[in-house]
Amino acid sequence: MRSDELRDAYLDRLGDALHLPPGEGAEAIEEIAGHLEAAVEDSVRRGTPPDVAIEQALARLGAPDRLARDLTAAHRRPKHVLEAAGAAVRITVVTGLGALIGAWLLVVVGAVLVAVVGQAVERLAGVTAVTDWTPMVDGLLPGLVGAIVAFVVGRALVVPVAARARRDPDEVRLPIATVGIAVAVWMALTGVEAQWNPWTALIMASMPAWFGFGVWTARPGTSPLDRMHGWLAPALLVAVAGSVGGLAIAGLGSGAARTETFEDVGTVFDPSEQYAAIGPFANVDHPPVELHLGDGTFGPELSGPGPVTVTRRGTITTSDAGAYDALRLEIWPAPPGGFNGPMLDPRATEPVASAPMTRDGRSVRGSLTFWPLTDRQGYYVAVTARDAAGDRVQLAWPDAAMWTWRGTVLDWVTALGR
Amino acid sequence: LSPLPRSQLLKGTTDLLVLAVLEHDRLHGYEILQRIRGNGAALSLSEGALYPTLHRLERDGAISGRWETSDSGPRRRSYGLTDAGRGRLAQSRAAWEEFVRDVGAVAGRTEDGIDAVG
Repeated sequence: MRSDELRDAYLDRLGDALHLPPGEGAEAIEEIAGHLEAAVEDSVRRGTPPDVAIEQALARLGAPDRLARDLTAAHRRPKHVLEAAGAAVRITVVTGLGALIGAWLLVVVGAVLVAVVGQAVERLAGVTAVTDWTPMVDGLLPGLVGAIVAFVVGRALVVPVAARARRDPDEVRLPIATVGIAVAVWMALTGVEAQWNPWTALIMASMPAWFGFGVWTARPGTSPLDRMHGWLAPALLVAVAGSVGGLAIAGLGSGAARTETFEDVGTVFDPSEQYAAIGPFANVDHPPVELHLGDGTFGPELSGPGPVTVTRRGTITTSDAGAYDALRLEIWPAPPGGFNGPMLDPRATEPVASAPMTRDGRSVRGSLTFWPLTDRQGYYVAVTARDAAGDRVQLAWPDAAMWTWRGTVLDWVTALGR
Repeated sequence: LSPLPRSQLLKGTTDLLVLAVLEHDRLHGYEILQRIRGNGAALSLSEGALYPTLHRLERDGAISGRWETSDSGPRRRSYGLTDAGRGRLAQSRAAWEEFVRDVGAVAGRTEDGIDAVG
């Protein structure tokens, strides 16, 4: 190895092992480089060959790791603990926001790609590859984003915080991991709301582990983002090109899709059949009770972990109002995954909640409060009664209470046990 | 029994040596080494120990460093004594002289060269 290569290798190693803020570290390396130059010049002037002179000068300086450790310690002051803590907060916020945006972009592009490819496969091969988009996938995406952000922030923290503390990265890993995992646990349990399902909960629960993995694998040298640049652009290009191509392929079968959808609607729109589990409709053409739903077809849309209160007011439209008694407002579960057809879960055999309705002349009113199921996006709302023959019948048109179950992991776990 | 190694005798005196050679001149690292070595073969200060010492003394405010550019080569960092450093040098000198006197008294020779034991 030539003398300048020996010197550069020594200084590179010194730079890697030196845990100082960038400016301080660069100046320390420049000073050592100046020392080597002066030492070699002096030796060469006294007749030592340059290659030997650099070797001797490097040997006198000692191992670069030890010199770096001693230099790092020489810069350390008590106030640097506070400086490191401030840097940790700043890096967490800045990197966290960047990672959040980047992760959502990646996840959204990936999700679009999966959906489009699934559509294309379905059109071309007749195989349904992607079904039940919500709430399964809607709940999964925030979990994935949370895991990515936790990992990226964990990796980004170690080296700069160690430099600010003027300590070896191995010395700051444990404190960073301890504080960060505690925050990640708090965020995973209470800080992030999503539409939950077991996969989402699993991914969110793994956030602290992803943070810890990021902290553990962070090493001085090239930053993770720098390394990502090599494959990020091609990955995005492939994702976008795949999405466009998939859309084009999916468009080939769009005519068949329209016909199929039309037929589906014809099948779904049959209240007597779809809601037979609750009871037959007393009069399909002129329902005895007309509900006043206010704004929106199905009343106000609600979200949250619960409890949810559903209130319905209506008017008895039939002249023989006395023919019905024991009016009840009933909440029945909709199918898991949303309303892409009937509003009643075909497996349902009993209501989620039920309450008697009060009558005041021709006006009727019912209200009930219940804890919604975690995997439903709405509930079928029925007005039931006994007719003159004592049979159970439905008095109002099919109605639904739209509900988006959103909550934290703790809410979700609590709901499971309820 | 082997005599006490000189490196052991030097231990703890690095700060004093550096402060002493900077008392009258601003010098860069290599010059500091040369000055120390020029005063005797016993003072073979490790080059690897010099720069951490310089950085620590600068951190503590005993010396001040500044970059100096030259037409012939890259810039170099030179160091000079601060007022706090002069005070520290005086204290270190006094402590060292007292140490030498006390060790000399026990080891058999005073600073005046008079055998105190026999």
